[in-house]
Amino acid sequence: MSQIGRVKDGQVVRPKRQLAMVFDLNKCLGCHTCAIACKTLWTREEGMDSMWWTVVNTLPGQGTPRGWEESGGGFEQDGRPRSGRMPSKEDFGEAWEFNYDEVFHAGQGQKTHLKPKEKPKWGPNWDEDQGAGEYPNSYYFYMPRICNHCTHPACLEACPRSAIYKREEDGIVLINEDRCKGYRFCMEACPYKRIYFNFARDISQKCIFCFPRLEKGVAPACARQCPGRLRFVGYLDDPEGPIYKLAKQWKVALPLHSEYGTHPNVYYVPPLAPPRLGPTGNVDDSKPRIPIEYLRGLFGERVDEVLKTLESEMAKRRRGEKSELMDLLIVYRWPENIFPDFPEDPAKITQG
Amino acid sequence: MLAKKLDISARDLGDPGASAWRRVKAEPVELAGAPLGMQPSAYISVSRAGKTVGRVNRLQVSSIHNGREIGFHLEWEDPTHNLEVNDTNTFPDGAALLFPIKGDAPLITMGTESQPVNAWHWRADRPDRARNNVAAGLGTTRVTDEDTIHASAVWLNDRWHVVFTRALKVPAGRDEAVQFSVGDEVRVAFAVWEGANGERAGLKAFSPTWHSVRLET
Repeated sequence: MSQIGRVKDGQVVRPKRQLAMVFDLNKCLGCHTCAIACKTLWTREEGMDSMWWTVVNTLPGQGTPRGWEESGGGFEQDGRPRSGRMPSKEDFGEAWEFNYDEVFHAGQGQKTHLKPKEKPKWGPNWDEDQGAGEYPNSYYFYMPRICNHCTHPACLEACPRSAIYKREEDGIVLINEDRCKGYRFCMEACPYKRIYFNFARDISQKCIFCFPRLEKGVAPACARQCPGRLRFVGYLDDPEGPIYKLAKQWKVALPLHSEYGTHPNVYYVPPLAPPRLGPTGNVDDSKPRIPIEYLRGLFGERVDEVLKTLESEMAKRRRGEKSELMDLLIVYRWPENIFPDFPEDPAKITQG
Repeated sequence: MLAKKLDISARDLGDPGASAWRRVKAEPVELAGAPLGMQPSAYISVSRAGKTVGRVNRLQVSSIHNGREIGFHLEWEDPTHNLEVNDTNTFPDGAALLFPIKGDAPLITMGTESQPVNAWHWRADRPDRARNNVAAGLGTTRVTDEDTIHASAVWLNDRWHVVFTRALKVPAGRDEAVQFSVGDEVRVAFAVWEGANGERAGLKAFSPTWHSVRLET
């Protein structure tokens, strides 16, 4: 049994290298191209209809699965595992069946419209674009999520069969489908609730960081297909790479809910927002549109400092000055600025 | 326990409603909840602390062989009837027999690397077969085949009646399945999972000691 990702002598055993992603939330359009790219590539098999290994939620909101932020799991501060809630099928959002036959083949196309056969009560993105706040100061932002390929994965520790492991070469967390018996303790223990259950195969499944693509020098599908070019991919320890620069050098990329204790390897550049408007339509600078307490709840206390850095670097650019950080976030050259280690075009990869 | 020798067909042997099963004496087997301290993941121990593990505390077991096949009839009270996995938080009822394959395999750890055990595992969501598993320690069970052990289950009057049948000898390698000989005594242990209580994996009721079964000559 590999010790990587487990606690040994009071320390989490780390892989040789760790792959990570940085999502710049200021660039996310909420277009779901990432989710469709992933779906098309990985989750079209039997039992995977309702799976969205990458999903883009609107925040503030319930997320996917519904209420995941209040569902426990992860670790206490002293390292003890924390009990977690199992999300239901409806919490994840089921794949609705549509009346294709009726509309397209039964001659009812003029009488009815395409709609789910049963009236849905919830879905994987039910509260999209709702957000919070009152007009004209309402607000929301998009939050793309994948498995965080944590340094100390709660799922890996929870599995009684050691079916989940963390790769030595890149820290990707994978479920061994031959060992998995569908017990679902991982789904309870994962505080980010990014593990799905395949009812047809009686196994748990989740994001695999597109490891077969990486091994051919191709970036994960969600990152490569992202029209906003906001998903940076690379090794956390590479001082020349964008991940290190954003997370460690500029320190503008923050983990989501670090208090869950699993040390996630997906980082977020937190969202800025337009200014608030006062009663007469004037700009009200007295407080930010997105309440800072809300952002602190997601990204921790350092979010204030990060937003200040982003604002001051943006101001530099507005004044016509140089900003290495802005250049980094803009991604002038694609793909070499965004996933320099995985620039290959999948259309040009030969199988075998 | 005596595995009574009766001249009955494999079909009757495998039918929990067959009259033969009413002619043999069933023995009570006391079950205990699997201890949380023995769970192979700290998450399971912590998250189940203070909760009931192993809700079924008694089984009735009987056994018959016909010189070619052996059958085990397990019966227990279960007012809930958990047949399928229809949501992430639903779990099917289940039962298993455990046999040492060789040596003095410890029951509490489900064998060791040098002394593996053989588990026949039935689940209510696949009611007509049991999977043959080998285990060499907690958390190591491995399915080796799904077709050597026949199972048949009936849920009637709030009670499960499950019969496991298998040929006395199977061609599987010595390390993958228990082999029976008429006149011999084998050790066996039992486990039951109550799906309504979220029981799966090591969250189960089990007989903490080996029982012995002698195949009548």
